[in-house]
Amino acid sequence: MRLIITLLLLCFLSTAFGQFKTAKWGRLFKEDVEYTTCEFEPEAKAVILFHVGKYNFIGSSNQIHTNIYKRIKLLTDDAEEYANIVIPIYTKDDTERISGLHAQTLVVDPNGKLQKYTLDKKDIYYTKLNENITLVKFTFPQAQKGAILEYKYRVRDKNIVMPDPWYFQSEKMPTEFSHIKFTYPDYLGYKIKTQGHRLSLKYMGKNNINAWELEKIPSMKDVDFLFCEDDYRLQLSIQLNSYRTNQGYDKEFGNNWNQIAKSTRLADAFYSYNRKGKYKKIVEEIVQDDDSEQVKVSKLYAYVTTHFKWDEKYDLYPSQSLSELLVSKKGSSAELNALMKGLCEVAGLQAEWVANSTRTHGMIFEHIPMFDAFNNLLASVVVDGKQWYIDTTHPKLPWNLPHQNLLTTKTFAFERSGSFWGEVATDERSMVNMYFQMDYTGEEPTCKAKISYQGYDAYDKRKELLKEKEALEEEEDEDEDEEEDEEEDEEDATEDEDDEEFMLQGFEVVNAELSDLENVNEDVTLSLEWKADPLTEETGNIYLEAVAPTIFKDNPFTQEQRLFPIEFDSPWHFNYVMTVKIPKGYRIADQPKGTAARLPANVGKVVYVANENAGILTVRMKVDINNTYMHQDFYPNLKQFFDLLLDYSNKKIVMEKVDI
Amino acid sequence: MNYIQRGLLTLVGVFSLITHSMADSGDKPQYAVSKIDPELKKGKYSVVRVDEMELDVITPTKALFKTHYVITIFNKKAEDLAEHAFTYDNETVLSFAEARVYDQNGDLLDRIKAKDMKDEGTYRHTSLFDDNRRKVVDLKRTTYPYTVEFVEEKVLHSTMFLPSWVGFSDRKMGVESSIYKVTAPAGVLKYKQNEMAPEPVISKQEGKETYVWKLEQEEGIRKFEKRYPIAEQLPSVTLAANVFAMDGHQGDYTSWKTFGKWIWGLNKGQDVVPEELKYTIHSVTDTLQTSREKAKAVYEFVQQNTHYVNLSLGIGGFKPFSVEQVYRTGYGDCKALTNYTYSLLKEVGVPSVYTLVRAGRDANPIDTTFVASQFNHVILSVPLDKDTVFLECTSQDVPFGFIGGFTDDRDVLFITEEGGELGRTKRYTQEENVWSSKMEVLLDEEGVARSTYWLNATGMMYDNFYFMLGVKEREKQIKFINRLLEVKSMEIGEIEMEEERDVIPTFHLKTDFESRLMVEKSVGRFFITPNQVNALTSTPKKAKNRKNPFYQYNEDIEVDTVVWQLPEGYSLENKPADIQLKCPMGTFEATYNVEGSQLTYTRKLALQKGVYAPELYNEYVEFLRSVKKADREKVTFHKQEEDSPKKDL
Repeated sequence: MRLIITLLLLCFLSTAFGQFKTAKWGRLFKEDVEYTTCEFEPEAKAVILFHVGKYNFIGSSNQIHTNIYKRIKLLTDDAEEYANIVIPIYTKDDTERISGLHAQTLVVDPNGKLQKYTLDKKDIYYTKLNENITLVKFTFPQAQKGAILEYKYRVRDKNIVMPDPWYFQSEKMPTEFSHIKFTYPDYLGYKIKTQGHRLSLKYMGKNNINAWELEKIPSMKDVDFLFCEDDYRLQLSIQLNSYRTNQGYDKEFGNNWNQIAKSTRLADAFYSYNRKGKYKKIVEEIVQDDDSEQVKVSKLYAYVTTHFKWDEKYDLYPSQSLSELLVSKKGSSAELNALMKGLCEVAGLQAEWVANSTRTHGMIFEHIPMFDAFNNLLASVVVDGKQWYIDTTHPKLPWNLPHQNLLTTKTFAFERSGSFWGEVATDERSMVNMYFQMDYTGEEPTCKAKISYQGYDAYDKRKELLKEKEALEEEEDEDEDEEEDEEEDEEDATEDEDDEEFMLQGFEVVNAELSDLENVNEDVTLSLEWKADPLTEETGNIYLEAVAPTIFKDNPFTQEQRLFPIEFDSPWHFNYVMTVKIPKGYRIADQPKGTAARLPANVGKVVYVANENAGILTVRMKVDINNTYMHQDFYPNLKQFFDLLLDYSNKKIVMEKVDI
Repeated sequence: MNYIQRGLLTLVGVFSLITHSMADSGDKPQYAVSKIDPELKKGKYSVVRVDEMELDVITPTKALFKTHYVITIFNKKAEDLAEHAFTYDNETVLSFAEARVYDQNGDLLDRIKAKDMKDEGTYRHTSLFDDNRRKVVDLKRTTYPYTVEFVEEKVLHSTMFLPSWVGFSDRKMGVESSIYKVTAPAGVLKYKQNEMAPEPVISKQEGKETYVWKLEQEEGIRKFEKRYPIAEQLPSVTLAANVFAMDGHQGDYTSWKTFGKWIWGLNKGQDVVPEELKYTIHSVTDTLQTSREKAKAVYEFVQQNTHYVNLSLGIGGFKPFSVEQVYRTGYGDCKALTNYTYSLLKEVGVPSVYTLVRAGRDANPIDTTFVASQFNHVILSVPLDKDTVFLECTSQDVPFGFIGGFTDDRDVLFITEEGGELGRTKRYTQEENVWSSKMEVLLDEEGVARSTYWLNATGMMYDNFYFMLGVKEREKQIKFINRLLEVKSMEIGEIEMEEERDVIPTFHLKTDFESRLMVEKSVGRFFITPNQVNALTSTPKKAKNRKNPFYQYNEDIEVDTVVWQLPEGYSLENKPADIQLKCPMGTFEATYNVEGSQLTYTRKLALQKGVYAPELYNEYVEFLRSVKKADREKVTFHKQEEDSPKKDL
């Protein structure tokens, strides 16, 4: 029997010239059949064995024809999701058209015979996702463990300036071999942007090549603490930069950023936003002539953020005119920030439009000008001689603090002549300050705390507290309704409070004052006074937490290995001071030891010190995260760093009763 | 339009008397907020100004549906009402759609026509293919109050589902006027309404019947009661036509029997097993003796050779793919895979029944007295000698005979050649749904804990975990353990997960880990929260004047044991008292036994499924709160230093 199987296998198995570097439609190599586990990603349920794309420029029709061939192997019983294929096609204005789609499943049956299951054309579904995109969907027949799924198709693309990028790295599964070849005539000048460490290593400095390939590429797994996974994904982008004219010279239109701004007619897109008359009435109503520049910008920011709703889209181009925006009262970042720029200008401030790329959209490489580099528009305004980037999409942020997603190093002022690069940054420190005073000397111990949140911490806290407040109001609302019917049950009310799990769960708050949450220009501050509830045992000892309240609840870094850098929202600082007045007849029997630890490259540090002097114990803890980026090599250090913070949150100070 | 109405309208559509005339046609702005009775708008988040729906059922293949909805939104809490989706599909033609927004004076601010609305597939991301589409519009503003208006007209070519009516759809929503007018040939229409809906005014004319449900100057309700279906707390009317059509196929809702016959008719001819497949399936089952063995073998054959895809096309929503098609492609939706299993079982001589069910965890039960399609899923019932086994044919991994919380314990419709017949799926008993865990913790002097954890979960508890059996990525397993346990900063070692595949299956987990943060510590003392394995973290609020009964959905037992071994020389300083709680909905007990430097904590929570009287609600909340409080209790150990005298200042 074994002999027969071997013979049968020989009938259809070809010899591979290089493992997975070649594939023939409907034919299997020995390596394909014997492949059971992806050695560089052993837990993978499926693997791309072969992924090849050929981009050909067709001169007669001025189109790019892309031929794609992909071969997947299912490695486990529960890998059927990998048999569902979705191909998005940009069908608006017939820009792209798909043809020649074939798919088949290749299975070696128990008798060693190769079975082919061909996808029926009627099992291919075309779904219009939106006005631009049509999804071509199908599911491979007989998709089971060990099956090899292969499909090929051609896309005719009228967009010869930026054909679809080539992703060597799949989001879903590892890839054994990926290859892209691009053929185009001499009279066109294409620029190639390769992205990712491995591509750079292999192809940096190599010119005049038109084919790129990589082997053994791990999948992009779910990654936390990254704004844009695509920044680290192995990929290749193609862009037409120039063409040769009939006169024989090369006409450039995408070779530098100014050419890109000109070619894309970015400034023209905002034509309707230049009509100053539209802004005049609004500005006259809001701004006084004798207002300072800062007051003016603050008022106009408040006007835009309270009267207009952001549609949660970042955009570089407006899709509605200024008149339409003034009616719909809702717009994209491009529209709202263009409005802000227009209002500022009419109010006498120097203002201009600048483009940037949000952090979720990805980094900009200054030396590789690309048409799709930008996705967002900001207003750049000079206030009292200083230039600010203003974004009106997040009303709970003050005007001088752009959202964390916008903190990018590259902005481009496209109306100016000559490149201009700026950085969206902020002077505001994001910081949490906590001052605790614990006094155990009186009959009833008293505890006071002053807590303030600055910068993005104020923003985050403001949102959180407003949400809580809203929920609380809702409940109070319901309770009020009930009170109309029935008198309030005191016991119930107390228990409900216990359920709020506010900042000081389990403590009886005597007094609490909170700053005005609606005023986005102010820090969020909280003053609290509560009755101490230390764990006092029969021994008379007093225990209190060394770092209270517990702000470090758990270590967010649970991955064992990290393949990508770690990105933080913004630099962050935490400053904690607690003074404890020690009652007479007590002494500090135990407290955590002082410590100081630093993260590599000065990314962060923590200091904890405690001193006892004249019956007062003073505890200080200071944590600084100075950078928003950390290399993956330092991931273990980061885990340890957070463990250390947690460790301090878990330690107690013990005041012991002593004989006098 | 509100979310409930939106949901209901996706079922169908039609039109009749409402005209296109919009609000600003009169002398004075019709929708000025000042026109609302001050008493009506007091304390409201929104007020429905106009809600007119008209349905005219002309024939089983044609009905006209028209809606005109105007609502004033007073604050952010009601802003979702400014969004609307105009739905349509191959059987529903959206002939007119328009949306408008007015300021508080009733002056028109903006108008969106159908051609300017975003058009998208309703289930575009989850379905391989379906024909449900929608035009969406979002009229939210930042300044309140404002008023939105939605008008639509539809022609329905299917009358299998008729639009339902909800008098108002949210709490703190007042109603100036809400009307549903339905006209149909005499004897065709039937309806059911809940207690909150007004009785209809019925009139007859020229062989037609007209029903009108109407609410005016309605105060609405102030709050929804928890653990009771929201739909039951709103005035609602559900309709059905005794004779209906779907994709040209005429159906009959006069009895479960006739409706079942219609379904049977759709399936007819789809059960032909290709010769090759006959040979294969016989080779799998012919050596087996009993029907149970054969059924299990066929089920596992289907699991291994097919997979589920979400696919529905017109009547495809009801008519399954043929056996031949599933055999050829290796995939299908619930109907196709159930029909496939049914046909293979028939081929090997085991009778089974195609079974319609309303699936979903905690789904509202169907109303068995109202004959209409209230189902959204199909499973297979296999009557065997001693019991009936239910098979979930869309799953590639659940054990034979296990259906889990998606379809358990509910009324279903069995489809046979004779027609439909009501039945019920298996209810998993409290003793079958058991969570049993144990953790052994070894603490060293530094407070570092080395622990081993075992979990066995059976029945419905298995249902919560079995998805993890297919997860092989270690990072995902670690995330799962981190979510499962209440332990901080775990360094996880071995993770073993396996199952016992049975009609009542069991999930087994074993893991070990180290943590420096399981206990709070000071010199000579450990502060231990014994329950770091299974703590109740949230509880509902007490209600003062509960009107509706409430559901306790779970029926299970949780047993946890944690053994804490402290370093030598440590002894108990303080521990909570053992606790026992009891109420009609469940029981709870926690014990703390200390022997030398070892603490054994046990916890047992048993819940009883049921619908309970409103008077019991506060007792239930109190019970849960006491459990939550007990789960947070702490135990203190200290080191005995017999020879160390207390130090002087």
